[in-house]
Parts: sequence; C-alpha cells; structure tokens
Amino acid sequence: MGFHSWILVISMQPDYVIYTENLTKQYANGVYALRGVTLEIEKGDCVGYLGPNGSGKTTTLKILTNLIRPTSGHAYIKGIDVNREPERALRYIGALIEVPGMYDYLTPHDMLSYQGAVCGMNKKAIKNRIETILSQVKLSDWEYAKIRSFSTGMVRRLVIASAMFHNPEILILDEPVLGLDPSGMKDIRDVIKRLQRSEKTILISSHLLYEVNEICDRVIFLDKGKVLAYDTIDKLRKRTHFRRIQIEFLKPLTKEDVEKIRAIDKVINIDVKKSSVKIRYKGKPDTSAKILKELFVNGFDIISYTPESASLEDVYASIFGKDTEVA
Amino acid sequence: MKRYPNGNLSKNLYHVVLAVKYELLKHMRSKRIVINLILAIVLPLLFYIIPKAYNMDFPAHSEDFAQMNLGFVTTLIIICAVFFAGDAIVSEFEKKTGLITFLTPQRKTSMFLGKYLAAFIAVLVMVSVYYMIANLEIIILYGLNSIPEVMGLSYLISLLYITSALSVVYIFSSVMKGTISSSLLSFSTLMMTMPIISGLLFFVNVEPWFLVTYSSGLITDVFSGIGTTMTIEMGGGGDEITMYSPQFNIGIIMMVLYAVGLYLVSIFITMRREVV
Repeated sequence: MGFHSWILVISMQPDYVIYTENLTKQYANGVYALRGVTLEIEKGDCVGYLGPNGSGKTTTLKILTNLIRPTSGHAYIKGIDVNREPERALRYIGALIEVPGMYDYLTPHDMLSYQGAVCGMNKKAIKNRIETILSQVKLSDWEYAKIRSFSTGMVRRLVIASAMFHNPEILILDEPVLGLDPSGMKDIRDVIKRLQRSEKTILISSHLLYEVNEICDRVIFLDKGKVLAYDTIDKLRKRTHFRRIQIEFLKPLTKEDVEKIRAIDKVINIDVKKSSVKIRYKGKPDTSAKILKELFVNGFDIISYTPESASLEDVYASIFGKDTEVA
Repeated sequence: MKRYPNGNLSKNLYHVVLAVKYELLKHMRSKRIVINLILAIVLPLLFYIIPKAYNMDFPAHSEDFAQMNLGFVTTLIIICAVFFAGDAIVSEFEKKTGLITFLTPQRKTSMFLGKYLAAFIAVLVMVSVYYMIANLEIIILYGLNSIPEVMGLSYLISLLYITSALSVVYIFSSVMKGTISSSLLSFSTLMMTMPIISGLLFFVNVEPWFLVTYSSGLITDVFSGIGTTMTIEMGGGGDEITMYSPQFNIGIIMMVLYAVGLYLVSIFITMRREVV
C-alpha cells in the first residue's frame, strides 16, 4: 500500500478504534484461516466474535495483537497498523489470547509489576493498581503466592488482570471465561460489564452465547474465514428466520405426539419436557399461527402457546444453518 | 507517572534492563544457579584434590597448572550457556508464555537482548567463580606472586567465548520447536560436533580456524604460547598429522563474528516467528 492510500485509509476510518481491511491469512500448510475479513469497531462498542471452531476467530485476534502477520490486508488499532508499529498499537490493547503459559516461579505481584514497569508506570502507581486489579479479580489474598500453586480458574483471572492492568482503551479477549466455574464466570462477566460502562472498546470471542448475549451489544459471525453477519444483537434477532414457541399441553406427550409435532412443516427442532415443548421453527412470525393451526388439526389440547423472540442462539443457528442446540 | 521521559532510547534500554532483571529472577528461583555453581566450584577443585589425594606431583610451573585447570572452563561455559539460554527464545513459543510477554508494548528485540544479557551475567558469574578458585589454588601451590601474567587475558578471552557460545545456543533456541531439542542440539554442537570436525580436519592437515570451539583454545593457549603448530608422525608409514592451535587475531575475530553474527540471525528468525 502506497503512502497516499495509507493516509486515505486512516482518514476514512476516524471513528473505528479497531479496523481490519481485507485480512487474509494462509498458513504454511496452505489452509486459509481468514479470507478478506473487514471489521469496523467503534469506540465503546462491546462486540462478540462468534463462530464455530476453526472459523478464524483466534487468527483474527492474533493478527490484531501482532502475534501473527496477515498474508494480505491490514489491521489497525486507533489508526495504527498493528503489524508495522506493534509497540505503539499494543499500548492501547489489553489482550487475552488462547491459554497463555505462565512464568510459574513468579507471584502475581511480580508479574503485574513487570507489566506495569513495561508500560512505564512508577512504583507507587504499580502498587495501587495491583491492589485494585487483584481485588477486582478476587486474587488479593494471593498477591505473593507462587503462580505454580494456582488453579486453572485463578490463572485465568490473573491473566485477565494482566490484560487490564495498564488500563487499556481496548480489550481483546479470546474465550475469557474458559476454565472458570460458574462463580468465576460471573466475576469475569461483572468485570467486563464494568469496563464496558467505562467506555472501553471490547472484542470478545466466545463459544458461550449466553455470555456474549449478557455482555455484548453487537456480534460478528464468522465462518470459514469470512464474516457472515455483523450487527447489533437486536437487529440480528429481528432478521433471523429461526424462532421459538413455548407450548404447554394438557397431557404429557407420547412418542407419537412428538413425531406428529416434528412432522409439521417449518419445525426445525423440538425440546420436550413432559407436557411442555419448545419448538424452534424456520419462518416469519405468521408461521407460528400456521403451526398452532396444525396442532389443533392434530387434536392436541393446548393450555398455553407463547411465541418467543429469537435468542442469540437462534440467530447463531439461523446463520450457521444448524438445527441443533449450540454450546 | 512515566519512568522514561527521555524518549525511545531510554524506554528501550529500560525494557532491556527489565528483561535482564526478570530473567535473572527466573534463574535464581530455579535450581539452575545452584547446579552450575556447584559445577563451577567442583571442577577446578578436582585439579587440586585428586593429585593431593593420590600423592601425585603438581606441574612444576603455575602456567602449566593454569593451562591444565582452565582447560575445563570451556566445558563449563558450554554447560552454563545451554542451561541459561537454551530455553530463552523457544520456551516463549513452546510454553506459550509469549502470549503474555509479546502482548506488552515493548520491542521483542529489547526483550531478547535482555534475556541474552541475563544469560551472559549468569555464565559470567560461574566462570568468575571458576577462575577465582583456580587462582586460589595457584596461590596455595605456587605462592602469591605465581599467578601467570596472562591470567587476565585468558579470563577476557573466556568472556568473549561466553558470548559466542550463547549466540550458538540462541540460534538453536530461535529455530527449534522444543526446549529439550534446542538444548540438546546446542550442547552436542559445541561439545561434540565442532570438536569432532576439528579433529577430522587435523587428520587432513586443514586448520579449522572457522570453528569457534577451535578458537576457544586461546583461553589456555595463552599460558603456553599462541599459534604453535606441531606435526606428529602417525605409525610407521610416514603419515603426519598437524596439530594446529588458533592464531590470536583470527581466533578473536571468529569469536566476535560468531557472537554478533549468530545473535543477529537468531533475532531476525525470532522476529519472523509467529505464535501459531
């Protein structure tokens, strides 16, 4: 890219704190991990990066943090080409990528002091920040314990603390709650929500749709190295073809009943629990009326019939064409 | 708030110092320091204890004792270099600690220079301990004024050899995928492959001036005379082997070239390497 076109790119994208332009990554074995991925993420956005295994999520995040280089295309953080000026760009980023190895002979105090010192913080600022950040991830009592004695969840929390330590404007988190127990997940979720309220820009890749739904306001769906959809969760919900109905029947359903329901046109998937059924169908809202008619025609006694708005899970299933539950 | 107000140079230097500090902390908290320190103490002591225990005569001159004793300083340097630098680069990729350190806003070159310097300091300490003990033995056996004049020169050459050995280790650490294979290859290259090639070249009367292990002979050659060549007749057939010893200038140049050249190549390779 010539100097003038480089200037043009920067001037065209003043509001995007994360911007990738046609990122393509082909590994040495010939496999394409990314095929022309363009992302535009504005300041303060909290974006979920979703896709099945091997879709290219981690590859994108690694390019954004200069751990790998794109085969073609560019990644910009606040207008800085990450792969040309990584040192400048990384000042704005706090990142957690995959499952990092730990210097297990260090203590959280040592590790975070190093992090602060690299970022140019003085001793007093480092000390105060360590207290604050360890309390946020509930590791205050472990400040001087060797990391080798930590559980997986504690290590994960420490790495997140390390990512947030220099108070970066942008957080890039790859499966942040991986390996955490439900309470640990909630702690991290709360931390991320707090960061979101403080106008941080957050890009989270996750398999846990519930987590993304709770934290993010926008999502990007990626598959086979291509962006399939990028919008707010609300807009994607409205656009999705997959919807759900919650139905309560008078009597528990027999196997025959279940097969009859499954055979109704547009029904994709059903989840039976005694006399209640969750139906996922493909179609517009009026399809729900047709399903109701079919149920009456088949002689079902219905107590309640509640069409539900599409969840992020439905959006995922709609986009990836899956008729099964996703993680 | 900022510690480095004087621009990028002071910032980069500060990052180098930080890397040195934390790498030394790693060495101190692991058993590497203890193991190598024991080696640095025991190796020179053997040259005093064994002859004493078996009532053997010590060499008549302190120079000969120093040459014999310090003959093992190259072995210590190689072992220490592998211990302290074998995993410096490769472990960041193998153990994925790079997923933390490479995400910090600093140059990788600063980080790896710091690790290199930390390894140098650690090996330097071990070699210094070795020289101190060897000199103490000379004082005990030959008197206070018997320390050879060229002892300091030998020490300086061994410091130069530390940098060459570390750069050889760094090359393997930058290209290999595992710490063990990197360490084994470094060790075998410096301890076996290069010396074996040197020996074979002697047989065909070619001076192995380009091998850094051959140049390291200067560390002890300073006590007996540098660049002396001996011809030995093999059997009764008239075949001769020339036993070369390194020329001072060429030896020093080769050590500098290995140290600087291989260090730069290893950093170039590391900069291109991706955390896949």
